[in-house]
Amino acid sequence: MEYNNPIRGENEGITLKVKFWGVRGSAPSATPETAGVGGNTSCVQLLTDQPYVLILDAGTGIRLLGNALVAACQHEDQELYLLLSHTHWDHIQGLPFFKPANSASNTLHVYGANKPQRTLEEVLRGQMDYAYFPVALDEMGAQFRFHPVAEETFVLPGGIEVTTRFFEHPGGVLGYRIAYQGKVVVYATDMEYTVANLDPRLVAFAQGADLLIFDAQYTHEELNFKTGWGHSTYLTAVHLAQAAGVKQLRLFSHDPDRTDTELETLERQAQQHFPATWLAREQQVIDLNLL
Amino acid sequence: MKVRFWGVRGSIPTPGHDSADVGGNTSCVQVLTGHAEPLILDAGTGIRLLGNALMADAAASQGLAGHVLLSHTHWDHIQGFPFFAPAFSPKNEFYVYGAGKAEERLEDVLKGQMNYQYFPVALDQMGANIHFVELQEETFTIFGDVEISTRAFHHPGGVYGFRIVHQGQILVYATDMEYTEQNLDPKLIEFARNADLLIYDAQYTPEELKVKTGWGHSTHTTAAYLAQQAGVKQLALYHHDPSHTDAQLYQMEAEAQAIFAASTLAVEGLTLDLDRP
Ligand SMILES: [Zn+2]
Ligand SMILES: [Zn+2]
Ligand SMILES: [Zn+2]
Repeated sequence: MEYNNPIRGENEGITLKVKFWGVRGSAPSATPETAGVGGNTSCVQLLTDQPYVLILDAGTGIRLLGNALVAACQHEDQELYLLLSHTHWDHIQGLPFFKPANSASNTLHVYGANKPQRTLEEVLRGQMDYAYFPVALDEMGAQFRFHPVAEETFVLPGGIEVTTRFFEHPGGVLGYRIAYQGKVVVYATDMEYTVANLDPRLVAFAQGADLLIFDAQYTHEELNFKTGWGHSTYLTAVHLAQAAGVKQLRLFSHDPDRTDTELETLERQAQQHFPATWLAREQQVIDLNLL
Repeated sequence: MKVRFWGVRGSIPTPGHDSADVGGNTSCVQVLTGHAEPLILDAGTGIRLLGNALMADAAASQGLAGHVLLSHTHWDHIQGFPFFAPAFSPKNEFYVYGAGKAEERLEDVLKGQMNYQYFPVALDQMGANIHFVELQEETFTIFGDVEISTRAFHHPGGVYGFRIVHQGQILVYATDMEYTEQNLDPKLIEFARNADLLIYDAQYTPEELKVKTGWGHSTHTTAAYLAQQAGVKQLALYHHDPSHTDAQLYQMEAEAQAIFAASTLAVEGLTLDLDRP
């Protein structure tokens, strides 16, 4: 069977793998102190045996994913599915630099929520308005198909089932629960909950996941003066992981100022509460069969 | 005058080991004139680090009246502003300069970046007193003795170059413009004439330019040629392409030096003293 996901070999005989291309929140962090964990903003790829590319969020990490597709000669005649949690910069800013979007033989299906005053399509076109970017979205080349999403369950080709729910974040955010051949990944970033106010809907959403990717941007000290900015702490993450009975937790959306050393300290502290916790690290691949 | 590079990358930031020596933050240069108030050229992601450095000095971080000159409003020149910590203090005041355009006000373009669909905090909620100054091709003075001249150059949507003169020293900041050795604008040569330091767009190699014509950038060889024609003392190659690794950039630096000896890569964290080229 011909597999269509990068990189050839990485997806052989698998049900579901996850690859982190960007793990940083808010702004890319290009400093030597953050290079170990990685400085690109949110982008996660789901690797399956299905013949299309499946991506969560389009932060700066998606540029590198696109480059990898080009290097593997898998950037033409492709169907690509991009699921957006929301349209804050750090989740869309890589899209204008995603090379497969420049190929006329590709179709890019973009899923995300419409806003009261603007559709998903308008928001993404706005990023490439001439005041901000030299090339308009329509000039990129690929066919864009926009799929507005609310709270629902839909099935992608080949039986990948996607469930969405809205959670607490300025302007709103969608969490994604993705199930395929009995394995479940829950992607829940950019949401503000504390141990005290954890939403039972979120616990139910993450219930029994093989892998939970959750927003752990702030420390609890930082949350004191960043209340309302829409992010959680590692303590909330481990509490959620425990309450939902997930197999593994990955801390995600690292603050741009958090150094590798600081993150590794947070990781150890988190493991004391929920041992199967690790940092989401750029370029790392997780095989859900091995969890 | 001194300049410090906080962001030297073009188009999009490039975190990662391959480009870490030269630096992955987008355009931001601090001009040090001996005045306490910051003078900043462009607000790419480098301005976040500059802001953090300003905030680390508690005394200097309050009551600032800073000036931010924007060459234009493409993302890589404004995307750091929402993360510029001093702009969140009500005690601070910032003047943001950029081209006045018929269709869209500078203020609206910068506010649009912080529209709720794209960012959780609106520009008006940042805290500092922020003034917008729309520029024409003109000459004006800040801090009493820093003279700034602006000219429009060739880039999609337009771009301004800045010529900054202080106590007889001349800094020319000319990024995001598309010229070649064959079509070098005499207006640009005049603008850069006799600069102590020319910071110029060297995003592409000549081979890359062949497929990127119209994207609005120059090559390292055009930069060196311009430096020669304008008789500048020193050239800083700037606005590096996100695909260029450190090794490729050092190679481009060597090639530029073969044309114009006083060429150097703009490197993040580097300070250049115009007294000592
Ligand atoms: Zn967000
Ligand atoms: Zn630029
Ligand atoms: Zn530009």
